[in-house]
Amino acid sequence: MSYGGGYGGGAGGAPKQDDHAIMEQVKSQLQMQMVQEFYQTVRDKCFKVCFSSPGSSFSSSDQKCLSRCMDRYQDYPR
Amino acid sequence: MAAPDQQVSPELQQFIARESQVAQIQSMISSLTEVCWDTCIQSPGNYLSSKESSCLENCARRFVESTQYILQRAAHKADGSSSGF
Repeated sequence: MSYGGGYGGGAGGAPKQDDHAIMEQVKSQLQMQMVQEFYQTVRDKCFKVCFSSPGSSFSSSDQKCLSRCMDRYQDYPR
Repeated sequence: MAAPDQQVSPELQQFIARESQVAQIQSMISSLTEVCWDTCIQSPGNYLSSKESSCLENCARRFVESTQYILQRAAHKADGSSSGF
């Protein structure tokens, strides 16, 4: 995902090199935060779906349920 | 927001990484508490019954395992293909 648009220069013209580095870091951190929040949501939704009565082990059918749920949750916005 | 890496000392970077990790774990525990309460406690009594206790224990463990499983699977997928979802 890209954050589009140019960055307006200050009164002096082109942004300084330091500003560019900070801009890139901000974009990167925002992106990471977004991805993290996405997977937390996936975790919350899919746990509720797959573990409505939590058992005493994490079985392979539990894993399959989580995998399926993850894939569907990622598919559907398209 | 953090300054560019060149201006941040290694000690400060380590501090940020550690504090971020602690915050993530606290956030997971907070979510876990809410979800497992909803799952296991229907009508709060004067104490936790053994049924409620064992449900909460199972729920907490499965929640942590699910979190790890989902993050590992997501990282694995990210390795194999370009980023973006």
